[in-house]
Amino acid sequence: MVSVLDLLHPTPLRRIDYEETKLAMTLAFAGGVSSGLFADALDHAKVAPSTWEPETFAGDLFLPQFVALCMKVRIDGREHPLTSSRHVLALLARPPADPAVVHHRRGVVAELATSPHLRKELEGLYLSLCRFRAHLEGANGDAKLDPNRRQLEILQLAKEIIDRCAEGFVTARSGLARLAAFGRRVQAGEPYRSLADLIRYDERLATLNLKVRVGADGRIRGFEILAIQEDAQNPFVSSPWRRWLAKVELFVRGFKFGDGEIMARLIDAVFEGLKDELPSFVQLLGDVEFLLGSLAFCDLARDAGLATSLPDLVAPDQPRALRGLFNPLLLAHGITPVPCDVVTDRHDTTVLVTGPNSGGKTRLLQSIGLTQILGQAGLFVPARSGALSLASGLVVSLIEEAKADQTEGRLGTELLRIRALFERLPPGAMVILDELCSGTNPSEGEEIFELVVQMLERLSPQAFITTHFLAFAARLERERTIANLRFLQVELGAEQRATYQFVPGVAQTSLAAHAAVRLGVTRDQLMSLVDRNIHLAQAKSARR
Amino acid sequence: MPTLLVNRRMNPALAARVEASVTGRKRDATSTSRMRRLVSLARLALVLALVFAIHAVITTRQRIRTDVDRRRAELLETVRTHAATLTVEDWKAVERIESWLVRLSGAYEGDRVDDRLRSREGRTRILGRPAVYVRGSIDSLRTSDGVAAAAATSSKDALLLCLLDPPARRTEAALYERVRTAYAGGMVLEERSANVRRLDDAIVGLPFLLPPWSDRVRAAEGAKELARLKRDFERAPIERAKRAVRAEVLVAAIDEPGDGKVPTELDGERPHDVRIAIVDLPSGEVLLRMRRRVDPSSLSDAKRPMYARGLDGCALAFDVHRELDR
Repeated sequence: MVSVLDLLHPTPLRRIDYEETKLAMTLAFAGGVSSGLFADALDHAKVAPSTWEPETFAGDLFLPQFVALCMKVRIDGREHPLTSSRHVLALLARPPADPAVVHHRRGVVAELATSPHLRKELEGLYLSLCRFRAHLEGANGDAKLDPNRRQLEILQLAKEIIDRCAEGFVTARSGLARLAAFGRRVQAGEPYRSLADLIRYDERLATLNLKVRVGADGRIRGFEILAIQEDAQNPFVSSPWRRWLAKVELFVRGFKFGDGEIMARLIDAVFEGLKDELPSFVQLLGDVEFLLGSLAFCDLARDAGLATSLPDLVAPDQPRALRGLFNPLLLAHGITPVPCDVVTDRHDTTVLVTGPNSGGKTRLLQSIGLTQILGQAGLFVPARSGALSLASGLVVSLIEEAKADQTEGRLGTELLRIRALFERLPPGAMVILDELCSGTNPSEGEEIFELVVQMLERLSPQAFITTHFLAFAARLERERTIANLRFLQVELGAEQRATYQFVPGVAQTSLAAHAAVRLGVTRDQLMSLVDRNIHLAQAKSARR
Repeated sequence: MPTLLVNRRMNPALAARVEASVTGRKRDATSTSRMRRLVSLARLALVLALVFAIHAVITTRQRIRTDVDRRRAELLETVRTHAATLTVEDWKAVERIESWLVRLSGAYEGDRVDDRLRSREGRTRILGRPAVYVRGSIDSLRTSDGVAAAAATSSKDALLLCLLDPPARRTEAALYERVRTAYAGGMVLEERSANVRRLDDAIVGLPFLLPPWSDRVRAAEGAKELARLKRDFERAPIERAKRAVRAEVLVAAIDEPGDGKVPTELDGERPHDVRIAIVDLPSGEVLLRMRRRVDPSSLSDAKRPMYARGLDGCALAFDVHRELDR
């Protein structure tokens, strides 16, 4: 029975289809025509049990883009495309329900972040795994070369990976220690010793001591063999006549006649002993990619002068204090986001966010959502420090684009959105809603809005809702009829400009006039456009 | 079956895997290993077939060579056996007969009749001895090569038959009866001229018993050539040749040229002189030398075109007997 190599769970899980992967690796090793084997296995890998449903938030939070842009593995300045972004996406979008798993992962990434040596070793291991994958899948085109040479290189890389695991993570105290345990266990086995013997046999069948004579012109005049030392202890070494007879034997048995066929049989035998261990490499590559992707996100933020952290995990009734929170999607697109602080007295509250247009409300919601995802996945979050309470689910509704097959009008669509929210909202989940009930007239919209907020309270969610119903929000703040309702507003600076910071309270204005000036929708701007169009129409008529 | 790729230094588990790799007895044996076993069997069959084929070729060649040698020895022994029955005189018989024919074809030495031929009994006795017969044109019988060519075309004919057994009368009907017998050939003619052999039998058959032909047998390469030689030998008139060379009497008919003034008949017959000679070969004595003219012009129109030569020959033999009876 082969143990499972899993870096992401305290109790190791076999998440890939082990037997199918083993068969695919065997075929790839034999033929070198199995491109996509690693990606396929990881794409279809299972994840730890989770209560989250990716379809309720992944699209609205642009999670695939976040993975693609922020979690690219970078080693020594070189980017490495993910083997399976679907695997990383699945790990993020389906965070473990068991807090122990979260703590396990936090321990691993924390150790990697604080130990440059271990990170370096993990990066080296990742590169070895990538080379192993490339050779096995024939991605580097060497499948057309000598099959024995290709298979020996694959076996050499397998040994390199095992050696790296055994020797590079001896000092690890987190889940990374499993790598050392795995490496040592495999090294202690006969298949590994045979592998090492075979590679030594390939590289060093014998050693010659030569004496070389060099002439006055620097050219070699001759040489003399002083000694020949054959690696007689190597079990693969046999006498020349025995090798010749073995070739005859193989020919009679239906193989080709040649030294290459002997080596092919030995390679096959060594691979056969090792092949039960090799599927672990696939899952390991996915895990390492996930961890290094998290560190790559930290590096990206650090390069932009932003800090990331592992937040404290607290109970829902504990205060929320995210310091230096920033939007990673802006960072991914080359925009340096302005960090802000989000502070509430407890997590299980409904926070109404108000403020001017383009004041950063939607970006704040994205940041909070992604922070919750990363925090619950056990990874660094886009905040300098803070505390998170694990949520039972995440429902996000930021955008409601018009669809060609849409049967309802704006109000009907908004009502359907609200219905869908309550259809799948478990107690204790995080809810993020952007501009609730913005699609209808304020008086009717406010009534529905209040109903939604009241109903949410019964589910004790961590809710963040933005709205432009400023008077309505001010009334709710004033009347305090809903107990767990909190209010954040966009802070305005000099000249009533948004500072992208958020402070308690309800905004007084949406600053539509500011947006109108910024976007050229003032009276004077529109008048000049109208005049120009009339002038152009008259000129065209005169030409006719 | 263990494999030579395994040695004692190998871990047993590794050795088992190497053996499984070679023998194809893996747990997940695939169609590839089955295919390899088929290839192995095919190669084994091919090797066995090659070995068998080579062995078959070698043994067949040896058997053929042995068989050829055996057949060669048998043939040579047969030749030797036949040759051993001939005396030195026998070997020289053809040469001796040729010299007689050349002499008889030369300037005509005049008629001569031995007294022993004057009586019917004497003729019967002399013509009943072993004899050799030849008829040819005078020009052809003057050389050795010509004799061979003439002998090849000279067969037992109406002249010989009527000389041995003359008809009772010289009527065309009586002559025609003998001519029909001669032209029909076969056993009847052979029985009525059993003591007479053609000279051609000796000329054709004797070389098969001579050393040059035995040398050809010894030099023959392969069964095919030897079989051809053997077939030639079996077809050769060896027994008839032996009887021909042992002949005691030479009967020769020598056709002199015609005068060319009258048309030739369809069978080549024309008026011309014919020399008849009977020679006692052991003693070298001419028993009969006679030159008579034949002329088909008196033959009926019905018989002349086809039987003129036969009727003339038989009439000539009748005339010889009639003259000897006088």
